[in-house]
Amino acid sequence: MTLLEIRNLKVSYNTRRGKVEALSGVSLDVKQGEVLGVVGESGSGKSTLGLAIMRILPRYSQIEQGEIFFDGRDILKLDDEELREMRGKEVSIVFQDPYSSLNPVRKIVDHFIELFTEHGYTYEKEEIEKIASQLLEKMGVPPEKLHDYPHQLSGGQRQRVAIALGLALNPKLLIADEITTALDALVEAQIVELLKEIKKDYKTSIMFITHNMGLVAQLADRIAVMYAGRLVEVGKTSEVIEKPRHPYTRALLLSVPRIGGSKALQPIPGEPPDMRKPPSGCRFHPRCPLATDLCVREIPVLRNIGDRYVACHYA
Amino acid sequence: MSHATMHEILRVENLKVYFPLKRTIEDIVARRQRFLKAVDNVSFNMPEGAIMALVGESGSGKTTIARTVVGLVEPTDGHVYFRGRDIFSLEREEFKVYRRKVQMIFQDPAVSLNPRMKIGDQVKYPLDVNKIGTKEERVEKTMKVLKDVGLSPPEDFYNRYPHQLSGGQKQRVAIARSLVLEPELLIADEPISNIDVSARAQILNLLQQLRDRLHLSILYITHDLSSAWAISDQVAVMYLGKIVEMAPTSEIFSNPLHPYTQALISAVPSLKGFPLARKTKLRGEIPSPVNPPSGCRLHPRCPFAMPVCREKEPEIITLGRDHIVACHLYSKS
Amino acid sequence: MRKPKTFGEWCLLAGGILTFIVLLFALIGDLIAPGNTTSSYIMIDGKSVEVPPLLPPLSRLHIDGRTVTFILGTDQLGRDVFSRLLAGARFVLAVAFLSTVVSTVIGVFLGLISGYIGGLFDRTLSLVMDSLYSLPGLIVAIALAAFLGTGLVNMSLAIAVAYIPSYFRMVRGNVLSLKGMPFIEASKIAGASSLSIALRQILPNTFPSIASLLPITFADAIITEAGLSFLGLGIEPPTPDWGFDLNKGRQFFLAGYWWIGIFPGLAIVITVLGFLLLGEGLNEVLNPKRWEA
Repeated sequence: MTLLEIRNLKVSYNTRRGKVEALSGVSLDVKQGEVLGVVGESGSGKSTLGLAIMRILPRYSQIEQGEIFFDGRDILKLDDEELREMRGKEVSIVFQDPYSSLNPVRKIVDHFIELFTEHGYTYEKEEIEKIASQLLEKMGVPPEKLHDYPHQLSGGQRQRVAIALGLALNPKLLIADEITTALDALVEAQIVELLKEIKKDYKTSIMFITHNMGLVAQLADRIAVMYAGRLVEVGKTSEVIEKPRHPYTRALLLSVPRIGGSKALQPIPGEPPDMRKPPSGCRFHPRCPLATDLCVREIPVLRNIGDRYVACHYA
Repeated sequence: MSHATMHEILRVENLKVYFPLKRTIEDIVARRQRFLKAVDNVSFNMPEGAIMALVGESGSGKTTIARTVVGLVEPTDGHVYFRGRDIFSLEREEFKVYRRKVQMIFQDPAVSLNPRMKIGDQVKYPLDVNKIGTKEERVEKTMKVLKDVGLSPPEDFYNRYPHQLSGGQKQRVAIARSLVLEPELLIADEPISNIDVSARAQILNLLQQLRDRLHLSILYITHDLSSAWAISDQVAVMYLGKIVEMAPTSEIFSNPLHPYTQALISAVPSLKGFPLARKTKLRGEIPSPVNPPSGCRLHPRCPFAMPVCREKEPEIITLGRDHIVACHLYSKS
Repeated sequence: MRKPKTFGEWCLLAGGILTFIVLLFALIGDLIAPGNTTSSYIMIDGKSVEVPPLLPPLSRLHIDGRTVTFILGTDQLGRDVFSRLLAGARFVLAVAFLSTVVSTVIGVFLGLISGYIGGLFDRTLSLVMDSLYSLPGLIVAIALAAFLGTGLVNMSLAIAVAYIPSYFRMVRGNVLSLKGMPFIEASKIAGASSLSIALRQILPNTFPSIASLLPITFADAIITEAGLSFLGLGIEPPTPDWGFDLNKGRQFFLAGYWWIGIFPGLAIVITVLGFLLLGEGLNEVLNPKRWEA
C-alpha cells in the first residue's frame, strides 16, 4: 500500500543571482510501514524533499510543479487549515537540531499539551501527561523529565523528546532529517536502535534522510540515492549496497572508510556541482568514470532495471 | 617498527587542563572553586612521522589537548614536550619558533577561513607575519603549497574568495595555510566532520600523502572511528578527560580491551560490520564533565562494573605490544 | 545595468540619483550660481547693483538692457535664494563629510581596540560610549558647538562626537563575534601579533557594516548641522547655509515671503532622503535579508 506518492516534484529557491533548482523533477513512493532511506550530500535536495512534503518550505522558495499524494490526497492543493491539521497528526518531522522542535522557555509537558490542544483533542491535562509520560518512557527518557525545560536535558534526550512529539499523534509518516548528525557516536547508535523499535511497534512509515550510508544500512528497507536535485538510484537497501548500479552510488560506497575494509580510499574526483549552474544532461557526468557525450547531452531518466530504479545511460 | 628506534616528536606528560567554573552562591559560601577538568592527567607520546588518532565523544578532552599542544591554552599542570623541550617553559622568542613548527586545522572550514580575504593572501599570511622571504618568494611559496594540496591551477585559486569554494576545497585551503610555515607537527581537529561524505576521502588521502612526502607528524582528533582506522598508526581513546586505552591501530581494532572502546566500535554503523567478539553496549549517556563520576568515570554506564570501579580510579596497565588500558578488569590484583 | 528588482535595489537607485544631484550642486554650485550669495549687490559689467530684497521666485531684474532672473527669488537682504541654495550645499556637505570622517575614524579605531583587548579597558570605554550614545545627538552637538565656537571645522567636530558611539558599538560588536572564530585562532597559531590580526584579519570584516552605517550617519549629520545653524550656533553669517536660511525664512513665512525658508527646507529633506535611501539600498546589497536564500 502506497502511502506517499511524489510525482515529478520541482522546487526552486530564489537567490540574488536567480533561481536555484533544489529538486528537478523527483518522483518517489513511500509504502505504508516501510522505512525509506534518502541518501545524499549537500546540494542533493534531500532536505528540501522533507520540507516540501511537510509544506514548510521557506518563503523564498516555490514549488514549480509536481504533485504529492499523501493517503490519496494531493497535499499541494490543501489550504492552510487543512495543512495545519495534517502537520503533526498525519505527517511529522524531526530535525537535526533538537532545539528546532523544542521551545526553550516551555517545559517538556507543555509541548505535548500544546500539540494535543492545537489538533483539537479535548483531553484533560492529566491525561495528556500520562500519555506523554508513557511515550517518553518508550523513547528511553525518564518520565520525570516531563517537568523540565529543554536545556536541562542532554542532546540525546532532546532528540528523543522530539521523536516522541513526532509520534504522539500516531502519524502515518515520520520524516527524520539528519536527526543523529549532531549527536555523539554512542547516542547515535541508541537512536538507531530506538527507530528500529518504533518501526516494529508503531508501523509508522519513516523517511530517514541522511548522508550516512551506514545508518541507512541499519534501518531502511529501501534506499533512494539523490544527487544534485535528482534521484539516481532507488531500490532495496541490501541490494543497492551490495551491488550498486549507479556510478555515484558505487563511488559513494567506495569513498567511505570502513573498519575492516580497504585502507585505500577512493575519493570521488571533482567537486559537488554549483546548483546555480548545474551541469547539463546527467549532473554527475563531470565526475563520472563512464561519462560520454550522451551523458552531457541527455538527462538520464529514472528507469526500471529489474527491481531497481536507476537514472543512468549505462546502468 | 619499534618506537625505540623512532624519534619522539611529541610527549605529553601528566597533562591537566582545568577550567575554573563560574562560582555560584553556594560556592562562595562554601569558599570553594569548582573546575571543569577537561584534561585530567593525560600522558602519551607520538613518534615522528606517525599519524596518531585521538578518539572520543564530546567532553572527552581531545580538543582541549589539541589546543594546548598548539599553545592556545595553558596547562594547569603537567608538561608538553616537543622534541624533548618543554614548550611552556620556553622564552618568548623560542616559543615563536615553536609556533612555526606546530600548526592546526579546524573542524569547520567555513569559519576557519577569513571570508573577506583572498585565498592566496590568507595562505600567505603566516609568511607575512613571520617576515619570511621576500614578497615574491612568499607568493611563490603560496602557489607551491596550493598546488601541493591539489588546488590547481594555483593562480586561479589565489584570487578567489572562500565563498566561491566547496567545503572540501576550503578545507584544503586551510591545510595549505597550515603547511606554508613548513611545520613538523600538524594538529587536525575533526578535519572531515563538516565536509561532504564524498570529499572526505580526498582530505584523508591528502593527509596521508603529506605525511609520506613531507614526513609530517599528524595528531588526528576525531569522533569517527572509521577514519581513524583508515589513516592512523596509533589510536588513543579518551573519555571525560582521561585516556582509557591506547594502542597501535590494528591492535586496538582487533583486540579492544576497554569497555568504552568496545562500545564505540560496536556503535559504528557499518555496512558489513567488523567482526567483533562481542557487541558491547553502554547504559545512559555521557555525564556532564563538570561533575564526573567517582572512581572509574565509566562505571555508571559500564556493563562490567565492579564495586572497585566506583571507589578507585583504574591505573594504567601495559599489556602486550604498546597496548595500554585503564580498566580494573585487567589489573593484576 | 539591469532594472532594479528588490526594494533594496530601488532604494539604491533612487538614493544614488538624488545624492549624485546634490553632490553635483555642491561641487559646481559656485560656477552655475548666477547671482549673489553673500552680498546684497550683484556685479553686472563690473558695476555693482543693489538687488531689491524679498523678490518672489522667477523675478526678473532689468538693468542696462541685461536681464537677470532670480529663479527662486531673493531673501530679506536681497541675496539670490537659488545661489545660496547651491552654495549652501557645499557647506552642508562639507560639514557632514568632515564630521562623518572624524567620527568613523575615531569610532572604528576605538571599537576595534576596545573589542579586541577586552577586559577593564573595554568595559570602561563601553560605559562611556553608551552614556554618550544615550544623549540625543543634537544636544551633544549643541553643547560642544557652544564650547568650540563657530566655523566649519569646529562645527564638524562638534557633530562628529555625537556619532562616534554608533561606529564604536557596531565595530565592537563585530569584533566580539569575530574574535572567537577559528580563522583568528589560526592567525594566532601562525604567530601573528594582535595588531596584525586586528588590522588585517578583523578590520576588513567590519567593512560591510561600516559601509551601511556611513550614509545614515551622513544624513543624520546634515540634519544635526541644519539644527545647529538653525539655532544660530556654529556658522558665521553671511555663510550660506540651509539651516540658517530656514530659520530666517521662518520669520518671514507668515508675512507671505514663503520662498526664503521653503527652498532650503526642501533641500535638506531631499538631501537627507537621498542619503538614507542610499544607505538602505547599500545595507540591502551588502547584508542580504531573510527573503532571500
